[in-house]
Amino acid sequence: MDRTERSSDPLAGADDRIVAGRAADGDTAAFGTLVRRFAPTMRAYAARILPGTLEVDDVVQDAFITAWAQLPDLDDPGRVRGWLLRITSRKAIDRLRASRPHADVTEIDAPAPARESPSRRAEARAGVAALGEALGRLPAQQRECWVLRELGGYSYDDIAQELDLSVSTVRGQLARARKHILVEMEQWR
Amino acid sequence: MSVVRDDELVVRIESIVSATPGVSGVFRSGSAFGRVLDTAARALGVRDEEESLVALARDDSGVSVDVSIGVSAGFGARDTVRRVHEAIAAQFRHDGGEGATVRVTVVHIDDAAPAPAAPALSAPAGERKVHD
Amino acid sequence: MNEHDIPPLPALGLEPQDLDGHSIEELSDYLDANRTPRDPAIEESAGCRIALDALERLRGISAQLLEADAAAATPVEDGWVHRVLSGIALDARAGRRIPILDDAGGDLGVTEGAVRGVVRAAERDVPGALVGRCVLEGDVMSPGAPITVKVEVSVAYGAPIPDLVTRLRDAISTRLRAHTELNVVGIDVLVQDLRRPNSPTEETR
Repeated sequence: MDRTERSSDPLAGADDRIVAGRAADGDTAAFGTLVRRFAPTMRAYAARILPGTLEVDDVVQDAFITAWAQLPDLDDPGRVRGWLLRITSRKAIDRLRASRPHADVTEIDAPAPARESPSRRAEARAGVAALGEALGRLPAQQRECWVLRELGGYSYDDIAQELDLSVSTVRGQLARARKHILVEMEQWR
Repeated sequence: MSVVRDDELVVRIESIVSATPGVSGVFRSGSAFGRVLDTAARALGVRDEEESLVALARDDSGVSVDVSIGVSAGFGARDTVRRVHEAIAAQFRHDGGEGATVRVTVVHIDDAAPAPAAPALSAPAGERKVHD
Repeated sequence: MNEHDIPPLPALGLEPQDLDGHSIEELSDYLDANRTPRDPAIEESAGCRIALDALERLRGISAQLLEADAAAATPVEDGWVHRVLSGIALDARAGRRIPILDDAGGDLGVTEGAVRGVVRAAERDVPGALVGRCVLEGDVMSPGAPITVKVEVSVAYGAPIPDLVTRLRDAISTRLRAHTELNVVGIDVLVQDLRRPNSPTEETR
C-alpha cells in the first residue's frame, strides 16, 4: 500500500471484514477499497488461468460487478479475499469455455507465451519464477486443474464441476501437471 | 390553454427538482435503478438525452410523478424532500388544472459535512438506549 | 544463493520404477489427502519419499506465486477502479423505503440504503472510529415502530472504547433525527479492534 493511497483512502488500513461489511451495505467507497486491495491478486490468478492481458482485465472487472451484487449474501465478510478469488476463477473459466467451441479439449497444447520480464527470466533459478515459467508451458487443461487446486484451493469435485470433467480426469491432469512442473524446475538447476 | 406535453413536463420537473435547495442530483426512479447521474455528468452529455429520470404516469384518475433524489451535504433529508414535493406541486398548480400524485424518495445523502441541526421534533419524545 | 533457491535434491525420479511401483498419480493423490491415513508402503519407500518431498516443496512455493505475481504487476490505476465502480447498480442496496410524513399529502420517503450511509457518516464526528456493517432492525416502513440500529465499528488501537462508543451513538442519533422520523429505541455497537482484526471485543449497551 503506497502513501498516496493511505492518505486519500481512510479505509486503506482497515480490516477486510470492516471494509467488506460496509461495501455489502452499499458504501461504494469501501467497495473501491476492496477493488484496489484485491485486484492485483485477482489479476494474477486470472492470468494463470487465461493467457492474454486484455481478457484478464475484463474477467476481473466482471468478477467485481458480480461481487457487488452478491456481497450482501456473503455470511462472513472476513472471508472476502477467498470469495473474490472463487468468483474470479468462475469468470475466467466461463471465458475459456466460450472460446473453445469443441468438446474435446484434453490436450490443447498451445503454451502460453512467456510473460515474465527479461530480468525475471534471468532469475529463473529462483523457485517462484521457475514455477511461473513452468506453469506457462503446461498444456491448458493441466494448468487449469493445477491453478484451481493450488491457487484456488478447490476440491477435486469442485474442479471437476467447474471444468466439466470427471474426477478421475482431474486427478490425472493434476498429477501430470505436477510432474511436468517438477521436471522443468529440475532442469533450471 | 395550451397543453404541456408529457416529455416537456418531465424535463421541466427534473430541472425544478435539481434546482431545489438541498438536492445533490436526480436519480433514475422506480425499480430500474441505474447509475448515479449527477448534474455534472449530465452537463457532459454522459447520458442519453432522450430519457428522463423522472417517471410520469397518466391514467383516468390523474397523473402521478415519481422522483428519486440525492441530498447535499449540510441539508436534512426531511426538509429537502418536502421542499421538492412542494416545488413539483407548485408547478402543477401553475400549469393549471389537475393536481398530481407526487412521490419523492431520497436514495442518497451526502455525508461530507457534520449533521445539520435537527428540526423540532414532532415524533415521540427522545429515544431510550436499551441494554441488550 | 537466495531464499528462493531449492536446495539440490538427490536425483528426482518420477516414473513408477523410481517409486517402487507407485505412480506419480498415487503420490499426487496422497499429497492432496495430506498423507492421511498414513500409507506405510509409500512412506517407507525412499523413492516415494523423495518425490513427496519435492511435491511438498512445490506446494510451498505455489502458495507464494499469486502474491509474487501481484507484487510484480503494475498497481491498479484509478481510472480502472472508476470504470469498475461505474458498472455498479446502486439499487441493490436501496433496501426498504422509510416513509417521511407530509401534511401536504405527498408520498415521501428515504431508502434504507441512504440511511445506512448516514449511520456510517457519523464516524466523521468520532475520530478513531470506522463503521462497518449496519442493520436497521424493526419495521422501518411503519411510522413510529420501534427501531434498533445495530452497527459494527472498528476502533483505533488504544482509543478509549466506552467514550468512543458513547460519542458514536450520539452522532448516529443526531444524524438520524435530521434525515428520518424513525423511532430509534436503541443503538447497539459491536466493537472490533483495528489492529487485531481477529479478536473482536463485544460491547453493547
